Amino acid sequence: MSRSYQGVAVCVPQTVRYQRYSSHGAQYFFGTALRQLLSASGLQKSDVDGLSISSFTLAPDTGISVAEHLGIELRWLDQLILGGASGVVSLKRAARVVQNGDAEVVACIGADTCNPDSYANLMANFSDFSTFGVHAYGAGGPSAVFALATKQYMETHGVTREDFGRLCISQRQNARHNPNALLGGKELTMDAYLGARTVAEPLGLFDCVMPCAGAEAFLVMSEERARSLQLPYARIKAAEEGYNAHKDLDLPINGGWCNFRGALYAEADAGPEDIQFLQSYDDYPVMVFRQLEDLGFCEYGGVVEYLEKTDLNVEGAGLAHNTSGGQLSSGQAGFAGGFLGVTEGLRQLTGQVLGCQIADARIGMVSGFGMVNYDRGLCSAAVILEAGESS
Amino acid sequence: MSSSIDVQSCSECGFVQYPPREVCRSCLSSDLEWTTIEGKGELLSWTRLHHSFEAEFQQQLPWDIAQVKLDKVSCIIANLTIENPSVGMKVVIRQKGDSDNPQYFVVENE
Repeated sequence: MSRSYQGVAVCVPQTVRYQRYSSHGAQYFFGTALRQLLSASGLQKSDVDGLSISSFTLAPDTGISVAEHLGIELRWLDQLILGGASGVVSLKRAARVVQNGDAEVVACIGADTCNPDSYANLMANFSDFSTFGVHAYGAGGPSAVFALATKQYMETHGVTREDFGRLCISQRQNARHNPNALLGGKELTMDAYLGARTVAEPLGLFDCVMPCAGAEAFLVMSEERARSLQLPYARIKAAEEGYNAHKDLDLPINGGWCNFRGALYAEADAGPEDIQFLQSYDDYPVMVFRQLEDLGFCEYGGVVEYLEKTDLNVEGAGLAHNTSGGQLSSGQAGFAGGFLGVTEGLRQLTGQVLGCQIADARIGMVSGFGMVNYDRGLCSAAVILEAGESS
Repeated sequence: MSSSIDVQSCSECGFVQYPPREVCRSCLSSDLEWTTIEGKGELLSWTRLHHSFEAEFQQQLPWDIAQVKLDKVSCIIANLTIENPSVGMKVVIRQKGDSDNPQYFVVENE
């Protein structure tokens, strides 16, 4: 059976302006995202018959509450709670739905609000395992677990804080023209990176994404429909998702992407050398290192050497990486953080960037990762996108 | 003090698991019991927290936690009380819980 996504267009990348804190509820960000999707596409509310949503702060409301709140009638509805993998998985599932004819136009939206209490509550009640086995030992949130993972990675591969610092600095440089990046206007120097307040050793302030409010959204429809609407679009060359990939490992020595990397590149008929840009999931720098290894851009333990010879700058000749600055520069708007890579990938392929445009963008990869319920992330996903004909 | 700790095990297949679950992760039996295992293990990683979301811990910062591997349990995250910890060192987990949370663990020198 063919696994091709032939005939499917992904288009209309939209971002609802990020804010450090908001007094609005999550529904505001869903509603504003949908309004922007309609305005940018020329579609009416009645044209949208599918909805895929992700949110941490929507509770007690759910996906169907969003439909009611926004006054849309749907033939297909999905709610994904897959953390930073949600955006790629949302795209993948919406594409199948359009391909099968279960819906014609699917709006995919990741949206969250943020206030000081909402984040602490989320951390306290993230999962049964986390509440019992992590929160009870210091209530350090995800930074505590990623500090353990980062320390372990540094010891295993001889990686230093400066190595992670260079990655963070390159992302901040990419953010400098992105008005949506909450930290975009602030240059990051190595001294500032190393001298920043320690959160959980070895992690400093600039290793940790800043929680914020906002939304990321896009539309999935047939290529025919996108062309008739004169919308520039991207096609899906291949997409994969995987869960609980290292259930039998003492330590998560990979991020799970390695389990489907072969299938992903085979379906795309492409390899890492063909990828012009990578939008990786950058909640913490160590996860970017893991993605570069797992997705075959370099050998395990070879990231530092790879970065010495590979320019990650959006305007460079190497691998353009997190071209909007990523979450480390933009902020992490809850589940929208998992959609950020998808919308930025679409922006690059359709010439609708917020900041810097990479030259002649034709093919790129977006990767997602999420849900550290106890000691490791459980969801990984990746998609290879290419520019559509009308782009 | 004893270096043994109480963890959940499966009455049917003997699988030992942590954190505790409603069913056995291996054979899915719900016939689970508490079993006492040796707390000696290896320090996989550790961190010193300088930030916490809860007032109770904020007063005690900096606060050390560690990730420890035991023979039968791949990873326990617990409070670390060793002065100069290093990854790979031999450690022991001790149970210092109260009636509210009997499975509260601390990591000490072997």
